[in-house]
Amino acid sequence: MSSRKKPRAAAAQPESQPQQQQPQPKILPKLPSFRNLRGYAFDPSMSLALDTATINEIVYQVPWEKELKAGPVGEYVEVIDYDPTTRTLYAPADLNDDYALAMDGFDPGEADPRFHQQMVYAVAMTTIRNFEIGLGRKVIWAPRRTAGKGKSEHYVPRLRIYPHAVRDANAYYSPQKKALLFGYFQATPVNRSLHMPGALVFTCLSHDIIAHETAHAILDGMFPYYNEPTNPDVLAFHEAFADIVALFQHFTFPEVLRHQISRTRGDLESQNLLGQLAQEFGIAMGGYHSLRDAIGSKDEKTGKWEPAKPDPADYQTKIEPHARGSILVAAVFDAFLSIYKHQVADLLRIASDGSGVLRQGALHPDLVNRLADEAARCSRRVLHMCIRALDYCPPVDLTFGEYLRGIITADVDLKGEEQHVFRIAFIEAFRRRGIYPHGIRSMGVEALAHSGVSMTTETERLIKIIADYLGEYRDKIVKHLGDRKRIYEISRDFAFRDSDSLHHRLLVKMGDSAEFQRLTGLAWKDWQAVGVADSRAVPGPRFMINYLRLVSRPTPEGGMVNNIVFSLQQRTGVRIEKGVLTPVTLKDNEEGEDDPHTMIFRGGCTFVFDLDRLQLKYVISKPLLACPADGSAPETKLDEERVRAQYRYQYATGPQSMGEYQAYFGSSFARSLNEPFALLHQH
Amino acid sequence: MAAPRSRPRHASLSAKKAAKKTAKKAPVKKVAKKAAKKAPAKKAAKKAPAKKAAKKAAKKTTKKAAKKAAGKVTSASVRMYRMGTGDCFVIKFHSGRARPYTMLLDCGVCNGSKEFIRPYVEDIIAHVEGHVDALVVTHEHKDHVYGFDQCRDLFTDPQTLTVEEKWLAWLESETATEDGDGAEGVEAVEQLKKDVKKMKLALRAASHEIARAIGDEDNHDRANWKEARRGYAPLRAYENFAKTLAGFSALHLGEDEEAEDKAALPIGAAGGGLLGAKGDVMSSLKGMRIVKDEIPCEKSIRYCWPGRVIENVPGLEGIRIFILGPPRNAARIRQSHAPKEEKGGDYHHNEDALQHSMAFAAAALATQDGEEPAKPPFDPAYAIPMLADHAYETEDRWRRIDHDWLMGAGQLALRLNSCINNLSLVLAIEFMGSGKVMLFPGDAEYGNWASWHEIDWGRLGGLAKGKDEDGKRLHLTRDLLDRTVFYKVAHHMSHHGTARLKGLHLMNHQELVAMATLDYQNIGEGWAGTMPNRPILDDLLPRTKGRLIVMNTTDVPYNPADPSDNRASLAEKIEEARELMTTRERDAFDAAYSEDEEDGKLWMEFEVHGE
Repeated sequence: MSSRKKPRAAAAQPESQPQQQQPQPKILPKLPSFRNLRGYAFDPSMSLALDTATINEIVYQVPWEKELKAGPVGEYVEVIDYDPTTRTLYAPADLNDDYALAMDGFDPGEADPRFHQQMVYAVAMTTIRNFEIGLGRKVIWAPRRTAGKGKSEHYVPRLRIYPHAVRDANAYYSPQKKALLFGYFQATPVNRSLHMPGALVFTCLSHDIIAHETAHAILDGMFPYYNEPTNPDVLAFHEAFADIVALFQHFTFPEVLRHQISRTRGDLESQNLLGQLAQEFGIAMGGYHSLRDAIGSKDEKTGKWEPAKPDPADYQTKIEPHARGSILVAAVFDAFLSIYKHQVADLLRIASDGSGVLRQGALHPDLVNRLADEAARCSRRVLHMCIRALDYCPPVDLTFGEYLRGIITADVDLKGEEQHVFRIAFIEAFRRRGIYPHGIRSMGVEALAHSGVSMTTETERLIKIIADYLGEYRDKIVKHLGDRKRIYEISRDFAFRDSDSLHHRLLVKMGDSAEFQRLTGLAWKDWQAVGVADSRAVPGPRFMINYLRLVSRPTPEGGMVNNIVFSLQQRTGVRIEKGVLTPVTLKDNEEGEDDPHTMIFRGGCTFVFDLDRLQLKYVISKPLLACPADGSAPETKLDEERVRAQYRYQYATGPQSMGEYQAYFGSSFARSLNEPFALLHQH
Repeated sequence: MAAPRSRPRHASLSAKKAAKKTAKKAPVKKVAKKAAKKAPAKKAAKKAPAKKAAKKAAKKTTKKAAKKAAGKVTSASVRMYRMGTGDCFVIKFHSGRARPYTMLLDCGVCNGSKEFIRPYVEDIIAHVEGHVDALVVTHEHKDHVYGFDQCRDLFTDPQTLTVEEKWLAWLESETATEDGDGAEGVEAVEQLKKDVKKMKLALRAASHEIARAIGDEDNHDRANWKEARRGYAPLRAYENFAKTLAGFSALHLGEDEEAEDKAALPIGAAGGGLLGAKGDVMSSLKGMRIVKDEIPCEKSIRYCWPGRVIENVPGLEGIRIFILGPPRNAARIRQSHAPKEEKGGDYHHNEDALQHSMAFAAAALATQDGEEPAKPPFDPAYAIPMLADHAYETEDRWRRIDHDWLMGAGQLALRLNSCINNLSLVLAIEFMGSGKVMLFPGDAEYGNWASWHEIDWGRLGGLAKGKDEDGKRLHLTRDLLDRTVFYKVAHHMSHHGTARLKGLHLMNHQELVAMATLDYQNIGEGWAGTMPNRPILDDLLPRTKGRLIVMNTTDVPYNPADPSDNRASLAEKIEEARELMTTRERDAFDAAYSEDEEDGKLWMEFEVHGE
């Protein structure tokens, strides 16, 4: 965080902000880059144990928000501390208060609700910041979709955060309300020395829980279909990804790492310590720890933490979202350890005079600092790799294997052939857990990275149509890079609102195009045959454009990668009766009320364009149609294998894998998850 | 009976089998149902006809028994009444006496009007000839006590029915230290009792509160409840939730009682609000209160403590009844899941145990009129008034969270349900001669099962017959499970009821027969998804070789989570498993099984031979 350059303009904006011309020379007030806010690095319980108390309080450096109001209510989040269980509204924290400014915010503690508000604000903003760096663009929350006439999408400027919303060991992101709801409860502690029995535990004071829930919200803003359980990986991914964000965000705090590494005392396997750290901290509350159990465990006899041996069978057998998600968390953590080990090998050789054996006693503070910095740097890279990968994933029905391909492709796109170690570390870690992408011949970087699009003259013609349009979009959007609302509106209007929107053009130009059908895997010819509805405006198949966005990421060499990304999504209904599969055309309002025996089946693809050259770089597709292996244009026929897999999952294995609460109180498994994350976090 | 049945009531009764059975045994095994029906509830003409009918039925077995050592119980016929999902058993212990020892074990069903339940209860009374030697109630759930409530007049009239003894779990007694014995951690148990009471009231309060919120049109507009977002309007989600919740609430407190109780005890009358004296009444099921206080019985209630044995009961010679549960340990009672260390210890899908927190209950209770408001977790100085122009009131009202927290009631309901299930009285009934055991665990969940293995049996420990691999005498509990030939499947074959490693996996007897009280035609809201649990069936069917007697297999799938069209039905699976039996076993099973004349409409019975 601290490596960030100081912005000149008022708001804390990325470097690409155009300079503002002042009519008359005068001294401009120098605004702070950051607001320092004290908070827990883990959660309050860690302040009670002697060896962790000193590192549990850290100072969060949150981008300075000039317009921050009491709440805190800023540009991205609004904290409203209303507790409906007691119908009490608590005084909002005013972080611009003189004393608060002088003292880096309110004192950490459980007794003052204003500190609770500060804590959720600080961690949520830190998480948002990490995403913005990784994504190379602004975080925009999922729009509110409403039924009925008129506008069906509404811009949501701020995520709402309720620090004391429920009385349960639960905290969740509500896609309905675009809000985080945190609970509090009486502890029934496993470790009585850390939690007093009967004492209240606040989930809103745990860094991990806040980061986890914020990550859910951000992910929902990018991929509205990632909370639809179409295969066992989807919900697991949502959980795992949120946990990965929480986990690696921890490791970007060097003070925490420094303290831990200094305790290793010549233990060269210090990477194990990081594993232990990852697992032990932040587990005091809630059910979040289950995701991290897969990383490793303490040996009963020696008391030493040991990393778990990956078992490829797990990916085949574990279906419950948390258990399955833990496989992904473990894989990413494994990759991180390999990278870290590789990066510090030279340091350890220097420190041990090439012997590899350190002297007894405490480590040299310089070495500790270097190791800690290296660990923080590695975790930041891993975190950003994981976040960046999202732009290279299909918009629907994600699997872990596809996510791995996203990670590799994103890295190749950003760094070219450099820094091979990172990719190998990821591939190795996934391979050891039996996570293989579907339809890949080898696990080499070349095979995993999505390749460029094979071009025919026809393709080039089609791409040119899109590219020209995206050029217009680029020219318009670069003027508003600091304004999230404008970004949202311009992107939306270009995508599907304007009369000559991208949506409209695609319909007009691509309708009936076999080549576009090949490129996207979606139905453009004879679409009615697979149950795809007619478009409302122009004759053609119904489809949606999700999330048109402009991306600018600095490369390690100091250059920039500028992309435009958008995705198409198409859906149809499928009925399976007596083993026979029949496509069903879904009605307009079908998402509201419809027949529970008709399954919604989606296909989609993500386009990545080079912004500067306006060339198509990648098409990452999850085809709706059965695509021939030789890459030729598919006939208009559903991917039956995937349909059946989804059916088996949604109607058999999925519901069985869910918990108690879901079994009794959940509605139908496949849809109608009114609050999917509330259910997932119920234990 | 000879006519082929139109509804597949029981798996064994495919038309062919039924015909075979009819030819061989039907005339013997069918009890005169008509006589039972005639059995009057009126005082005047009471017992005679019923007695006659029952005697006739019992004649065959008693005659056979009489030839052997008269006086000793040689067999027990277990009759499962088929009102619907819920337990109601009559066990007759045959010893060659003119009148066998009779035990009525629970009388409940999850739903049913007075008119619906009455014929069953009349049949029970006729069957026991107006006298029950031991009235046993395992735990206070509607599906175990509702019959007492709905047929109160029959049960409380000594002209109709007399009761020799009542047996209840030790936790039903006022003190935790009666019987010269004690709970492990009396305070913890007292706390548990208080918590249970509070949770029950909170559950009902939350249920009411959600219903009220749904009924309040203001909410629909204020929080945009009718507006759907991909899927489903919040209102519908609330309605679904409320339905299931109301079911859970009724399971613990009954539905229509409240009005009566409120009338009987106006708020404030007994003082102390819901948690005071009034709460005592409010927090108990009427069926249970009738059992405790209204059914006449000379003797005082026998409270059963785990680790104890009931023996030397007149009429029960040759029978020893070991009490296995409920646990003395409050922590075990609260335990619904096997701990992580015991991998595969239960049949849950999900390893995470339920969190125990009373914070929700306190707030839910406080929503009710006349109750103290719940205490905020902060100093009141931090609270500020909610002004009409506050963002919460004015901006984005679709984001209000006034009622979201009430969803926590689902958690509470599950926890409470588990807790009450774990209060189940567990009986292991042993035929002393052969050592065969009949296990009646009520709805015990994991913690209850696990506690059996921790019982200090004292001198009784020497009664274990089996030895482990090292030649050491088995713990008596394990030994009893090993000798179990009859298992009343706990909790209607859900994943809750049966422990795996410490339970079903220890039942290895070749003759094992299981009875399960599951009926899809009459079942609690939201239950069908978890019953039967397929992994339990996968263990139970081979172990019993298909001798699994289910109350009603109609529409019951083998795997309720899989609604695909070619799914197997439970009946088919049972029939398939029965192929594992030898011809002799099959004959013996068919001979021991019977049902009432009208195709087993009222009951099914299995006779356990003790020799």
